[in-house]
Amino acid sequence: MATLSLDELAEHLNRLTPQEREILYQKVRHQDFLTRLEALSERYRARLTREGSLTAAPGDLIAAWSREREDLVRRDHPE
Amino acid sequence: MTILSERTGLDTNVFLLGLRKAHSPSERLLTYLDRLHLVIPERILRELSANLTPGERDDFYDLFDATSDVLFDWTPPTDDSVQRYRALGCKRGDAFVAAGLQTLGATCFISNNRHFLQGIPGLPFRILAPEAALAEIEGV
Repeated sequence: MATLSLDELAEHLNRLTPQEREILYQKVRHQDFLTRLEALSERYRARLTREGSLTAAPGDLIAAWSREREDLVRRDHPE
Repeated sequence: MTILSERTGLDTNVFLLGLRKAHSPSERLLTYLDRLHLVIPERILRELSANLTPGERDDFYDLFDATSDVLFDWTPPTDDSVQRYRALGCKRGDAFVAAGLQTLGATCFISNNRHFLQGIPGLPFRILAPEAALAEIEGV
């Protein structure tokens, strides 16, 4: 893949219209977001793997989180 | 109107199944988080906190930056608003979530729980599965 120096990149950016520049910045922000999302997912999955719970069935997890919802609300807001 | 133009909440199960990569539609939906007008009510924040370590929680909040349109609300909904949903037949936990969503002006909630508020009349927000939300976003 060809690489550009920062000066060359700046020249390319200066040739863009304001609209093109905004689209480019949006794409850069989205790529940055995806990188952070992937890092969080990997961190979470690594911890669950260590704890031996990554492979739980989605249906079981959804049921467990539904029960946890009721447990947490009982804890935080006793009747 | 699609969820890209609505105030939208995601259920805890969508966040966590997506991060686990255990459910492809949930996982894919998370890649659009930065395009949603997102609301995260107090109950969902508490549930995420119960399932993530402090470091993971920091990474979660770091997903959002100054350009993100996201409302975090750590304030519990009022008793009156919760009781309204209880009177409609909601389970207590679900009533807190529904009241929180209403307080934040959500018009859409995405959940993997087919039973969430099922059969409750007059909700101020619609409930979608991640598959249906993706269909709206991706136009398929």
